[in-house]
Amino acid sequence: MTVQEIMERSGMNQSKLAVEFIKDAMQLIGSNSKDNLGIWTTNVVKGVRDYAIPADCHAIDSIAILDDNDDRYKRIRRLTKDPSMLLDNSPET
Amino acid sequence: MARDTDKYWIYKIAGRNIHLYQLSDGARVESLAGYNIRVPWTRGNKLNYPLEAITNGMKIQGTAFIKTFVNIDPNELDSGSNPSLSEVDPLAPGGSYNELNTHVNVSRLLSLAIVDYLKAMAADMGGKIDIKEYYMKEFYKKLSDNESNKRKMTFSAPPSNPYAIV
Repeated sequence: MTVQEIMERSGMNQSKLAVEFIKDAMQLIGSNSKDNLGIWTTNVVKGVRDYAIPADCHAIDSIAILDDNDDRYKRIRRLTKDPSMLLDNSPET
Repeated sequence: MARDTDKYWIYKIAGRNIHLYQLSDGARVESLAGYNIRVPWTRGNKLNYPLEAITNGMKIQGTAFIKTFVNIDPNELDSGSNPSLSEVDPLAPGGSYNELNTHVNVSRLLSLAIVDYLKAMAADMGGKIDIKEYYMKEFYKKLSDNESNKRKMTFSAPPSNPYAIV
């Protein structure tokens, strides 16, 4: 469907505003459905805990770590709460 | 060498970051009469920062940004194959694309959902909150229809035995 057709159906006649609203709607669609899945890979660095979520990623579906032994990526579990910490021996702190 | 990564690696989302941990079971090794014996450690499992480096070791799968506006209709086949889409900007000054020939890169059902979204925003600007809420409901309804369309299932009932009428 063209932008013009969407504008006519919705009764909106300001094209700049309509284009911005369409972008917002696309963001909402992207956050609510898995229409377009992307895959990003990054190096795991020894002693580094924090890795940035890719800037063009709406929502994370799963994370997998490469198993050298099987030579395939295996999905890993997610912690929902902060771990109880006795001692942080992090190389970063 | 990373092995059994599904068992020993754990992640947590913290803001715009992923916190990656490696789990160790907290056991320790005692030597007794020349034998190494693995004994449980009372403190239990331990989370460590990654203990090894893995090249291209982490794969993130997620919903990605897509090209919002494209040059041709994404729902029509191009000579029997999927159309190759190029991203365009309908508002680029002096560009060859405008509202008339720029397509929104979603299915027709989602295009209709976008129409509802625009109607909702128009009502919002006019202060008509009840109408806005109605169209937002329609918007989300079409989104959920679009999702459930991907998971259509057919149910078949087993044939029942004939019963004699006495």
